[in-house]
Amino acid sequence: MPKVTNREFNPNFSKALDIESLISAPLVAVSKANVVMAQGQTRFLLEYCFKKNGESYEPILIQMALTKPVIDPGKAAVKAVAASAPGVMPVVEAVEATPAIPQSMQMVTTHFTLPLLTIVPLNSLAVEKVNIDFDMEITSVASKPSGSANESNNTITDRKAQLYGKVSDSGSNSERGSANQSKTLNKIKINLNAATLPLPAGVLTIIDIYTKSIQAVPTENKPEN
Amino acid sequence: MIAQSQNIPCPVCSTGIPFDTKQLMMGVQFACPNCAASVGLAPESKELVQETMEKLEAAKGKTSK
Repeated sequence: MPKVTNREFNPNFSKALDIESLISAPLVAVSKANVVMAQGQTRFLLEYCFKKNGESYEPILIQMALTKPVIDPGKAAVKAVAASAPGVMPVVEAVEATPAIPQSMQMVTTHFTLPLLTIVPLNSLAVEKVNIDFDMEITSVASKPSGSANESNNTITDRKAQLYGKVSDSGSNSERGSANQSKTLNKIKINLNAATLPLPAGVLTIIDIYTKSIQAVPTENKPEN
Repeated sequence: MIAQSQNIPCPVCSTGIPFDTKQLMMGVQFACPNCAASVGLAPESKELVQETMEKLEAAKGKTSK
């Protein structure tokens, strides 16, 4: 097994880059981190929430208990009817009657199955919010023509400003004192706030399909001892 | 506190029942806000859910490193 040694993180702050690269670099890093997490989620889903059956995957099901009150309508008192010969109207006599069963409410427990993935809180694996805050020291300003080749034939050509800079080492600047105070004017404070979607649409659809397919399936109730 | 993001449709009236998986594992039953039905995890599935949640926590730990 190769030996891994801890290396100190020494970023090269001296290299100037264009402003788009400086801003997009941490966002690309976050995006890549989310891809790694999405791959981890997919692997987790297939490994623990599904079981492989030949070429296809089947969801692992869990048992859920549904308890709901059921009203028993009861039974009204029924009067006994004396037997009579065929074709003759029966004579009702109030001599015997079965006792009435009063209306009652019972809690009935029903079992149903649910795919395991519908209760696993998967969205907690994603990067929720990113806050990136850094100072950018502008090293040079350039301009380049913007637009397509056809537009460049016009007499007035739009030129797009291009800023080049590097991540400012604010700690060392403060040590330099007031001698380099003019340099602070060339700084831009960049504050990025980025939020990610909770889950990819495909995973959400899979969960939605399984969630919608919940149907209460009564199973045999085991006799309680 | 129940995470509002997680809910399952009520098998009786299809209203979303908010639930928390950790509380579900502890045997808590979650009542439907619309009808009087309540949903809970059956004891026979508790072990399976617990194992999966432990694996999820382990996966989260691996990803954060």
